Amino acid sequence: MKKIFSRKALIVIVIALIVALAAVISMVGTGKPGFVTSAVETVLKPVKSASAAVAGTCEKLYGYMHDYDRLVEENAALRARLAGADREARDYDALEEENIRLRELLGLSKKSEDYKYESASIIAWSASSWDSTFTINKGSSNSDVSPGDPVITSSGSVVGLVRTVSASSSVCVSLIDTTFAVSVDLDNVTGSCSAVGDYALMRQGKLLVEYISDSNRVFTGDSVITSGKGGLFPPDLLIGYVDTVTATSDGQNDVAVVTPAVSLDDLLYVYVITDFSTTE
Amino acid sequence: MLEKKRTASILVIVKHALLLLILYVLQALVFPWFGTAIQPMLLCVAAAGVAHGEGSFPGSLFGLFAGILTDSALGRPVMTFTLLLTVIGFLLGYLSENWLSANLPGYLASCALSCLICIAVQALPLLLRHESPAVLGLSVLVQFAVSIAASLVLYPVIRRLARASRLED
Repeated sequence: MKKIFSRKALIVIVIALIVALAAVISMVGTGKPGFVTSAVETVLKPVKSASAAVAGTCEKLYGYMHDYDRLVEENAALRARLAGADREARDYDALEEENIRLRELLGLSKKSEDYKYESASIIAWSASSWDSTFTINKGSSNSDVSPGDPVITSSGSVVGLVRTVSASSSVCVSLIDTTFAVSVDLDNVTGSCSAVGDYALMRQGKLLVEYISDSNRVFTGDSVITSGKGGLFPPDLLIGYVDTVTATSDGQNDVAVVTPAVSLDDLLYVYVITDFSTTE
Repeated sequence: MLEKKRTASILVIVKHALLLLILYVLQALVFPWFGTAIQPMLLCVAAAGVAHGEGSFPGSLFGLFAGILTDSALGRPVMTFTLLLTVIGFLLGYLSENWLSANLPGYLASCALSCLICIAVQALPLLLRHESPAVLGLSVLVQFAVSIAASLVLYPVIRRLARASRLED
């Protein structure tokens, strides 16, 4: 029988230990993945970017070939919605004027929301079957992105939040990941609830809303929006729509299954809110 | 003669690097775009296969690089799988040098052990977060099954690599 630790194998294990230790030490206290992970990500970024470009081109080609009829239908539906939106905009102008008058009457200042955005493209999705994360092409060297920043789409729907920031890329947690949690408001329900990821639902591309105080007032299709409480996300960002409402075994607080407003499978570009402040 | 041996050594290293790159691209970039819920642990299987076919030193070296790439593919800091696959590569290599038979059942046993450890490392935190054990258990079984199926597909490639490596020795 051979000696268990041959010299060469021992050297490899020591190298692995040094790499892991260096990764741990460079992470401690910074909240960043450290120089070891950053170096690996920088080396692998061209491979990921090239792959994302190829995948994007393939999806476009597939879209041209197979989605034409669907796009025509969608276009007609969007035109109808636009016409409706035009009508609403006219009504809105009148309401806005009335609002200004009433505000002046009450001496209130207008609520202002100042967000700073960083546009990014998704270069890879996690290969893990146990979480839902993705990598964007913005890191500490080419943007102001920092851990905990909200990630949204161009239409303002929540995609997730930034978890770790490397030099040239960042890993983000999607809103269906089991570690995701945010305070939300539901239509017609007083008090905030909590939107959280759940492993079983993650595999169906959905998430859970917990602590609903009055489930009799929650219906399928109701919007779920961020409440702004906790300071993690700004208020009024769309999370998704209620799918089903279920009573919990204790009968105290009900839960709702929510379908995200954003289709994660088709997502290529996102916006990171690097700074937001809401003032009255 | 010496020149020929050197060329053969370089060729073996290039083949291993190529296998790593192809598996990384499949694991990290191709499978996720298909959006399948459960994906095979290709790099874990390959590390176990190389360790089984070639021994503890090549196994641990291949495991080191496979681990770094797995950590990157899973969006984790370079740490957990880097250390885990190096140790798995070393231990399975040692087992194959002394106890495990150098045939398909031995290879499958190595891959199964490697997969179980790698899957457990990922599933355990979810179990501790009070996710449903039944749902997790089913996912573990499915991922284990698809990983073993992937190991069967990889078997001819890894066996050929092991042969080339032994000839070079």
